[in-house]
Amino acid sequence: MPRTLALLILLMGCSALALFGGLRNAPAAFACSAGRDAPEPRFARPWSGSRDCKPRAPVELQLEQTGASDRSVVTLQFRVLPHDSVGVVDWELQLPAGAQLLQGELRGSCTAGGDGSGSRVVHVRLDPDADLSRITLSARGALVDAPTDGNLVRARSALTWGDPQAALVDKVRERPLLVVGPRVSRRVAEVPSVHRSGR
Amino acid sequence: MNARAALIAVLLSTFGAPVLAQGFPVSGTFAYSDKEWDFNGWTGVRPERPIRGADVRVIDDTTGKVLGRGITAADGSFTVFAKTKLPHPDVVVRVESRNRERRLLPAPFTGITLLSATGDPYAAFSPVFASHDSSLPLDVGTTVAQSITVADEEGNPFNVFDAAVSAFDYVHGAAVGAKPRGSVTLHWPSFTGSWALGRHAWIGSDDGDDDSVILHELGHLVHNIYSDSDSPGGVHYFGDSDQDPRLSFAEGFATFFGGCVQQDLGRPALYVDCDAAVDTSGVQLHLSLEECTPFLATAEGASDEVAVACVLHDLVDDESTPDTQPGVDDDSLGAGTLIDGLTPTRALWAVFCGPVRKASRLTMDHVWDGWLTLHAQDTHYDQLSDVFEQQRMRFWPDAFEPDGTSEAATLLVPLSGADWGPEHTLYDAPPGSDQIGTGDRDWFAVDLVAGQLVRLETRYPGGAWDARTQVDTFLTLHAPDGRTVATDEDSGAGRNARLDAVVVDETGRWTFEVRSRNRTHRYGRYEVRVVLLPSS
Repeated sequence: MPRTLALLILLMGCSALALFGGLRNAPAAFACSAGRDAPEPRFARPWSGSRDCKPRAPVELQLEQTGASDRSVVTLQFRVLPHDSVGVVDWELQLPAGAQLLQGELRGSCTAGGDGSGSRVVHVRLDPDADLSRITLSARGALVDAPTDGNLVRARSALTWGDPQAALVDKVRERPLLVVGPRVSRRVAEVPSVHRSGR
Repeated sequence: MNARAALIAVLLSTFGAPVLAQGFPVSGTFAYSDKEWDFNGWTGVRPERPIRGADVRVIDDTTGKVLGRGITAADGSFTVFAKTKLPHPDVVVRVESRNRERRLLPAPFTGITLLSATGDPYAAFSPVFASHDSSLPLDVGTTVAQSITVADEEGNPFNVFDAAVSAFDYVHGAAVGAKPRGSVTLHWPSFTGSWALGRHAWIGSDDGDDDSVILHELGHLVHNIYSDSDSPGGVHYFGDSDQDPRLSFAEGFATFFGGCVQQDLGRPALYVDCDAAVDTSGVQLHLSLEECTPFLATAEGASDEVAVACVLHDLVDDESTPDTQPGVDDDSLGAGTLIDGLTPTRALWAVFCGPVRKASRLTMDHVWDGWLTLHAQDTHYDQLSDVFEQQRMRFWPDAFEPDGTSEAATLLVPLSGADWGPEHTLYDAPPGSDQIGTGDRDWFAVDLVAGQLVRLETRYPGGAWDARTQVDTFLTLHAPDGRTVATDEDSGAGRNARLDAVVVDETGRWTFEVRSRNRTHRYGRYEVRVVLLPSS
């Protein structure tokens, strides 16, 4: 019995501390959320793709945003580095609909450790009204030591701006994915579906 | 209560309950639209596949109340008893991307949850059956979940879920027979690419239909759950044989695991990453584990994830493996082989969960050592070494052994120009045995004349631009009287050692040793030479 009583007192003490701590932290939490009210410029930051660790083709692609203006102009720096196993690659920077290249080149080629593998800079004006904007850097080459069919390799790296949720689209009904369903007690992301009778 | 009354009560409680309860059985089938692929990318075919082992909820569409719970069978079908007192409820059925009702499956299974970018599970809904007569059964027919587009790229969340079901079907099934250990959580679409950590895997927004990419990430989870990974992580490339061998093993295992699951499904063991924005072809990167193509020419050594994946694959495949050469196996570990009474798959799994799990700085070395240690009574050494030799992972002494002392040094002749001597391997084990290696030192001797200028150096096998070997050589030069004159770690190309412009100050037999001081790059092939330089 004394052990049970001690445990009860300990639990009550922890609860009180948690409650007290929670109240003490409340203003700070409010301050933090208030700080988020000031919206970031629309194209200030693309989504990150930095943690990708699936196997990649032996062509190193570096693509990053180094600047942005409030007139929807972004500055991108990129580099294409084919490994020796690939040799030569052709690269291309694909812009979304409504975007405009202001400065720089959209395509070229480069060799392993040689010509054309230095850093490049482009300035692009993105469509300020687009829900979603994506610029893709793609490279295409062939494995030097595999001169048979199937030796092509491609690599891609992309930067995307906009609301990630706006990017999720119900392909059947061509509308954003429904996340909160009226017929469920808990949130689910509704996947579009088609139906037929029988199995 | 007499015995007869008790028996009637038990029968009623067991079999009579559904009859007495108010409600009705609801049945139907859930499927998803898949995107078929092969070695050359998307085929353009969109088959319908069952949503297997997923939670089913029968819901009152007016109140949102759950009337019944169940789980789909292997063919996507379900039957759930809906409890309600309402005579004409509006009924809808949803399938979810998780398996909290897995206790209803025929055998224990790993918990799987797939969450959307908002942290919510996915669900597909049947049509609403308004004012259903609750005195009658309800067949909701077949509901087929469709793809979602993510920034112009498409994927199906139920394909991601199904890949996880396939992965753990393989792990818990006849091939491996491992028991479930808790749950895993997958996230799709990930806007930070495809990666794994602990029991979580994030699947990139462009990989929702890329089965082998999803299975690769699930391979990391299986590695974390059933064994232990020492991978430093980071960006990695097919065709790179100069990786950290801890990374090579983790990534090679993950690719190999994906191949095992595909074979379990009756498909070839492939890794194919396709462009999610196109309907046909669109290969970004591909690998056939049986032929090791298109990386066969470069996939050598334990610092190459493709070589690791192909060796692991060859350990478990046989003539029956579905690949481009039906009925043929390209190694001698064929069908019917038993290692210590185990199939090669189970023998490898035992190594994976035993010595590999316990290893520190885990690399492919530990698979070799673990196999010889764990299956010491029945190693099938010749077949094992045949498999490892295919990707030039030589965990056995070279023809120059024993050369581990200055007295047993291999005599070299100084070369000039572009000539190099024969290939050596840093690995030592008792001759003629199948015991594991314990490190190696290769000694060499060269007769030099005072006043000569020489260079001593190692290089990758055949002068490969990429390593194609795991070893990191270290050179120590000794004068004829035995004193140490110079040492070098990495002055050569890549991980190679080079002592350049050494002035010979004494005529006689000089010796030098090649060894590795790097504990993750201990073993492997290299070439060595002594070059006479023009004296100034």
